[in-house]
Amino acid sequence: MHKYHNPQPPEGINTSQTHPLWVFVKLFVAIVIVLTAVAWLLGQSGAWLAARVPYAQEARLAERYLSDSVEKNSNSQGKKHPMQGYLESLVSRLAPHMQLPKGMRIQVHYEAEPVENAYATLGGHIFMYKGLLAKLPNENSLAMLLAHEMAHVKLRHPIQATAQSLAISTGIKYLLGFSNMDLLGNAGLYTQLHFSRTMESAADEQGLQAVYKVYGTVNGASDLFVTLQQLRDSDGSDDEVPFFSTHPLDVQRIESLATLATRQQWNTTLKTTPLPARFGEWLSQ
Amino acid sequence: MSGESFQLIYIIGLLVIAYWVGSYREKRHYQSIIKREYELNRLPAVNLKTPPEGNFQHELVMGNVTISVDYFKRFLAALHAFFGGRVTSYETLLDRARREALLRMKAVASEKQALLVLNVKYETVSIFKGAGKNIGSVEVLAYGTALMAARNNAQVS
Repeated sequence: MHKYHNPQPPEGINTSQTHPLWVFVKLFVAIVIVLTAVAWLLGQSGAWLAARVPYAQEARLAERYLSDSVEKNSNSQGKKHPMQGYLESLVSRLAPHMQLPKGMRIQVHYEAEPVENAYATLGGHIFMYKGLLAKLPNENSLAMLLAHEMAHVKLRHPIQATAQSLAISTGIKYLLGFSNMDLLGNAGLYTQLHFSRTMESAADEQGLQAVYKVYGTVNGASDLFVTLQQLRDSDGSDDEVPFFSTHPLDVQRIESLATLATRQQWNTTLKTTPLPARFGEWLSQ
Repeated sequence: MSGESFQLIYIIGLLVIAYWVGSYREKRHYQSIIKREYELNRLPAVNLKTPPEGNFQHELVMGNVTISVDYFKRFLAALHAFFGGRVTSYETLLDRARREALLRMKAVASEKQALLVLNVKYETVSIFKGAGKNIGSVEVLAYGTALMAARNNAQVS
């Protein structure tokens, strides 16, 4: 038997001696850097390309994916909700002062749900929720909210944010090897768009300008952000108030809008316009 | 707590538990392997095909093992797959599986009072049922020809 023997091999010759946690940290940091860079590049490219999509094409896309929610909320039993009519009249007053591109139509939709939110999405659709409207103190702040959302539409932010999200999620999924990708099947994507802070600031400025032109003062416009700040403080969580999620801090917004008003020499002292007498009644309908 | 936060905590929790349990079990397994390798070292298992001179009984012996990879190792392997290079997280898995399969084969041969196991070979199979490119478990089969002393009590030289 001496001819055949199995010497005990030394340990560790077939395995790595580097600690697995150290390997994990190195690889994880590296992949986070790579994915962040790729996501940024994809997002920028997506937004750049989307801004060049004709608005008519965006409107067709919106009709395809938003038709259900638009039909449900814009017309109940053939009779228009008084709040809907009021919001539409405000849009009509603001629109001429916003230099909207030719063919761009703003469609506001009143949502009688206690959600403290308002958002603009593809195809010029703006959704205003009862929960947020109920908290606004005057018409100026409501006009500011509407003008802010209209400015998003004018600046093509919804299509840019959509393309940004799609480009990032598709690219990252492709990079990580997910094959089952439903690119345009997620309707939720269009109702939960995240605009960058730069986009929000631009919408604030254009919105304030429109409010000034309609009311002759910017007084009351910043009440919108005071209200939002109060809602944030009372909720204690951004999750409960979707409107807050990616918006710049309200204090900063108020300050930057005040600076803009001073620079433009816009009136800040004229009396604010109250909400219609039946506003509360409309909210409860 | 948002869905994304919950998902992140869930993944981190799984990674921590998998790392802790996986490392503990791997350490215990290696201790067992080293101990049994020492005990069974008296029984040579070689890949030579030619039997020594003498009169022997011979019989096929085999040992197999299936070992599952833990969540931490699978996560680490996915990171390795992105950048390439040695998949170090799977090296210990395959090392343990091959040594365990050989030990089980030797244990069978030892029960048969074999003097030698010839023509030893390995078969390795990845079991990934429905898990795409991920390796879920690995099965290793070690087999060879055990030589037992014939009734006339032959000796191997």
